[in-house]
Amino acid sequence: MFFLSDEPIRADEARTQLANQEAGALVIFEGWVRDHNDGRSVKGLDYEAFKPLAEKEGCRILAEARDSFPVLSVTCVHRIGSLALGDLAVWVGVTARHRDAAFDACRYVIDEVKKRVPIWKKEHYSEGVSGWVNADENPGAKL
Amino acid sequence: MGCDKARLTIGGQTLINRSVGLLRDLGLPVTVSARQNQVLDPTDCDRVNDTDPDLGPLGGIKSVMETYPDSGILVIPVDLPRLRSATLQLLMASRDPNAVATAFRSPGDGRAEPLCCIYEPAALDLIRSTIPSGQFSLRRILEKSDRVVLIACPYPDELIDTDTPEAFGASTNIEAIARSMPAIHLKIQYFASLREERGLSEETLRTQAENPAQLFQELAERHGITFPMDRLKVAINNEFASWKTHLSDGDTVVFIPPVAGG
Repeated sequence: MFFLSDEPIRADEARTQLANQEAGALVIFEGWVRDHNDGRSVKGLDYEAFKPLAEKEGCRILAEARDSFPVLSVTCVHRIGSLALGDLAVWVGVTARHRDAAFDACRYVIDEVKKRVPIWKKEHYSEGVSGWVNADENPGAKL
Repeated sequence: MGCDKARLTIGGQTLINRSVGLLRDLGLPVTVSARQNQVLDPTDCDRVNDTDPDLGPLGGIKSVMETYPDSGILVIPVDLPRLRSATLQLLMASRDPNAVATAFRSPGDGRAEPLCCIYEPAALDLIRSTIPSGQFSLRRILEKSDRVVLIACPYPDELIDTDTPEAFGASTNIEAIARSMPAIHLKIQYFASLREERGLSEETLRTQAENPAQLFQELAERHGITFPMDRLKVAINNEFASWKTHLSDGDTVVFIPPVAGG
């Protein structure tokens, strides 16, 4: 399942829900808010989503992963709203009978989510300016 | 009583047929407004009889607007023999479907030229509310609104009507009226950098745009949006769509800036 969450992601809970005795592997990817990007010092960020389409596109990506790799389950949760440094921004969990499929599917999901799901990230820099990542030509140059 | 001005011929063509032809050149469905008893050349287009002949041109325009209340109309009179469709295209290009009207500035006094003019549905309310006060002058009615788009006419000669009617023995007044292409209502949602550039997250508007590409160009021009279209994707009714998808009344359109999840 693919979820958008405007509250902190409960990673332990998400991990517990994947428990399955058929599974020999669980691969988890966590995306965290980093204190720098492109050589600039970042102090926090906002995620904004076009919810109906983001959920649809996210579910499509998970279905592709299930069709392409021999996995047992695939889950992705993405945060929206204001996040501080160190916060969990995105969580992907994949279980499979064997580790190769779990690694491959997890990598596929996070890569496609970053490319395709209509979610936007606004970074706040320590100089007091902000910018939309990928959209603004020179993020943070605008006041 | 003299002949009908509409049936005067210029270059072998009656004025009425010439005016209808101008509007057809623009690809617009044409409606002729005439008085009840007025005999017209066969023009094979819709006809709406003027229900308020005492109001002059105002009555004819009001009758057509009441027949097509959801559609903007481009009005031209029959007696502008120099008018060309290219000049009408200029007017259409400046059209704001959310205004009351889009008109040329009169070459004489700079006021709105009400008989070569696009009236939007909002104009009907204005006309209806003004008539009881005895105000039948279209120019004065338009001047009551601050939502009239006025543009200069680069070919002012085209807005000068035929020489004194007496010279032709013409006695009646008639307007050829075109319904402009029916506009649709759309909801537009903005996100992220586009939301900030537009200054709002949602709006509804009337437009003649047929696809998202035309819609984006219209919005970009009107609001000075600088985001390049080739860096955007588009969604209609919560699903990705192509820029050429035909838009329908009631659609919700979202322009999607480059994404940055994860």
